[in-house]
Amino acid sequence: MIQSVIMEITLYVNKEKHQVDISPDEPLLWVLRDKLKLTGTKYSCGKGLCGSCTVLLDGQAIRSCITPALSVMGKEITTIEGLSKNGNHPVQKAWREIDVPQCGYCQPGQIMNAVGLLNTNHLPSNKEITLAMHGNICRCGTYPKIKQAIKLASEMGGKHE
Amino acid sequence: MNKKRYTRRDFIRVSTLISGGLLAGFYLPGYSRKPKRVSNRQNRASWLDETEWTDLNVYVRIAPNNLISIITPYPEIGQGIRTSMPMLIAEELDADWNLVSTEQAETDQKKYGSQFVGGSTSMLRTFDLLRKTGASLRTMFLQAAAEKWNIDKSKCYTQNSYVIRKETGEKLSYGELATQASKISPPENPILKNRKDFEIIGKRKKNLDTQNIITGKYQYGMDIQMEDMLVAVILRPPIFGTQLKNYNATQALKTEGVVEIFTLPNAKNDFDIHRGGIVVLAKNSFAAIKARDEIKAEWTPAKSNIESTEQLFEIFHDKLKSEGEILKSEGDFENAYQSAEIKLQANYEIPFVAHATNEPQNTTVYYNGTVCQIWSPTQVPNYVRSLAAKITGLDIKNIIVNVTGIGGGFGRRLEADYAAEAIYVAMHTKKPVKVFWTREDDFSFDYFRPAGIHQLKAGIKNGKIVAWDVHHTSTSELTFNNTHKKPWAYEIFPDNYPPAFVPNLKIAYSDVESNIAVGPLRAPGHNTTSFADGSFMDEIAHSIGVDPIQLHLDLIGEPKEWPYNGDGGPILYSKRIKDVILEVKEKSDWGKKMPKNSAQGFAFHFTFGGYAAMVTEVSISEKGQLKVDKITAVADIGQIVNPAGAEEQMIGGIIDGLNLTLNAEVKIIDGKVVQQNFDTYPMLRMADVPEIKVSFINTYAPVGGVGEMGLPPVAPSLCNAIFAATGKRIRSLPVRHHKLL
Repeated sequence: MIQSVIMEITLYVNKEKHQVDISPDEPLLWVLRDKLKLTGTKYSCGKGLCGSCTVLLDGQAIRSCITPALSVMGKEITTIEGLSKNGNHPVQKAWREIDVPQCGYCQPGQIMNAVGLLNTNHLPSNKEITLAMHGNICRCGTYPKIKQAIKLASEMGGKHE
Repeated sequence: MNKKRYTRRDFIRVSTLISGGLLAGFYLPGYSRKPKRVSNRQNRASWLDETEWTDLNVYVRIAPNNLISIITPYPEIGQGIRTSMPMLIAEELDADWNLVSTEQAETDQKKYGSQFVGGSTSMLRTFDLLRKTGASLRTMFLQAAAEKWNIDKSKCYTQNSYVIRKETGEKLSYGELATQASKISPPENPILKNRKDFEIIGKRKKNLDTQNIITGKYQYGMDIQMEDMLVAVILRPPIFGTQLKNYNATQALKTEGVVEIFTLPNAKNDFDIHRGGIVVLAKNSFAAIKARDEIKAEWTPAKSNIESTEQLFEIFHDKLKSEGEILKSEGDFENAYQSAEIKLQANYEIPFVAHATNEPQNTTVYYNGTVCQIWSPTQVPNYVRSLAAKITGLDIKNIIVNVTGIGGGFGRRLEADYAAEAIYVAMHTKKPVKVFWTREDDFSFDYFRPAGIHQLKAGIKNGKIVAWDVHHTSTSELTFNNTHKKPWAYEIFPDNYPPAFVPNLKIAYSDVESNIAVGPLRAPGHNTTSFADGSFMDEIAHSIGVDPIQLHLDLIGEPKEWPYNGDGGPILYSKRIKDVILEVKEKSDWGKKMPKNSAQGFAFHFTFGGYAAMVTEVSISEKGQLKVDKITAVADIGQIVNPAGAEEQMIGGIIDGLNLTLNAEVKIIDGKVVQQNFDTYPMLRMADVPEIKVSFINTYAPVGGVGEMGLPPVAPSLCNAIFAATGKRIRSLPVRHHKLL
């Protein structure tokens, strides 16, 4: 039975190597949260519809809730905890400057998605920002501030030195 | 809240504190003890953990290096309370704001009074109390310094967390004085600052939790981790009122990581507010979710008829044929209506909508037979505590409720169903267990905003509204909660503007009993009455060819204090209505020339003591695509504690209102909720957000609330704008179901 199969895999998360036991269909989200105790990556919809679980895979934003952990073996995964040492990634700096969060639950996902955007497009237009952020829901309605923060991060040079 | 893995040792430590009976009320002398947890500002330093804090009272502790931790008594649901409450204390304490951090209070009604958050009441309830707390401490510091210097305390003053000796300029920090100050009896009537001397209140302050949130360290209920902790999901009865007949979990039990599968007791008592079901206990979340899908369960038929939204709306229409319960009758409606020159009638239909908090419901509980410790994202911590005492049979002093970070409230977390079931699960496991909901659970088992219909009639004579009748029918939330006394109380507000301002008036309500769970959602009652009243005013204005804002100004008339029996009362000031309307008229450039197929719409609503007027601008493309271009809002919520936070709440309320107006709808077919996730329950996205301009007036009035006031005027102002642009009147929500061209 497939459900009783457990495999040990190697994951590279935040520049650290981890050996974890997973079941073959286990989403990266639950491996990060339950097994590596990296709870900054949030569960909200489980279907790739809200963006709260966004992490970086080789610098690209992905939804960890619909990404099997098995499929990212050997690739570089970055979560909110590994984005910078003290929250000093330019995107985090901008988030702090604009003071974006309300309840904050979606913000790690918003930030990781914004980092993914700025990694590929250093100077996104308003339209490119709203397009790229379309998959990230903020229930409190911090969208105007998120947009402001992304523009500010973009001015500050977007990419982490 | 620090991210922290709770250990057994923490648990024992907390238990000792509780059973040790430490209780320091506001007027009791201070005492010293080691903190059980640290401030939220993890970026400061890890040595904070080791610092010897002095507790000055139940709200403030100070470290020797002058850092201040201010305890926030109420839950933070994104409304900014963990910043605004510390501001109140820091102001009167003359604290250096840069040294302030906050931590969440323990749940204890004796120490803090009721700690619930809802109804935009937090500032109202604590504004004086917390300022007095700060002022009292300031006096204690002055006294402590005066004693040290052996002078009278009138020869000292306080500034930025220091006491300064006037003659010499010598300084002693609050940190240095803390131990001594804690031994001084607090003054009974501390002198509060004059408002013009405020240096913190009324100034834009950043959220104290931002750093932890943006680094992933802020800990929500979902993020609680503990040694030996298990997790659980529950397969609940698919329809309210059904019970489990039998089930087969053979296959589910084979899932790797599953520990046990068992059933919750059926509800027996009135505090058994959980829904029962089959519990899947596992070592990790994914195993629990996966195994649940493998369970085959059979349920008994529902107690009463199985419901659907369609059927409910037929019942609503039937109810409207009756007279309903008359809530208010003034003048002679029938006569005035019959003799009116123009008679108008319209029905406004309201769907069920979901709270859809970003963080699904969850609660972690550790019960060992003598103590029950709970970590819950709740808006009602005291209720959870007393509920736990009832369920476990333990004395309330052995119940510890920790309020976690909360991923959105919107009223959903005024219900404690998800905490109750977690307590039952923990009583079975006797090990720490986190019961969490999937998004599908969250939609299926929400307490929806009630559905219903507002039926309005108006008679107009000589260009004036002379008669107004409203008959509202809905699935009353109070009826659902077995509070039959005033089923209408959170559905309709008989004293509110505009109806109460019409001389010949009749207001009636009919409740519809249903098995579908309903409860409060941001601006309960107001989020539907605003749509009906605000749209109807616009319909009247257009029917008699008067500018919609002018119609309001005519109805408001001369400044007058109207009695308002309800939350936000006892007085409704017509001048304050008029002032926000005039201000938004100017700010929005009302009546300006608009491009083809675009227009402005206006609405005003009085919500729980707050006055908000709004002008919404929309444009409709040739294909009938709606775009909301701009919203201008003016609010009078009285004095503002944190202007940055108040503005965020208004904008957040407006965006929430846009989602409710444009998108939100829950349908029920055969007793089951159709919408299960964000694919079938569309949410507002960044691209849908218009330019939003918010301003506040009359900030010299007494302090009020702001969490809900931005929401109600959105639906009517938006639908009025659609009418102005297209001639199409929206009388049922959400807007996305309507063809606009």
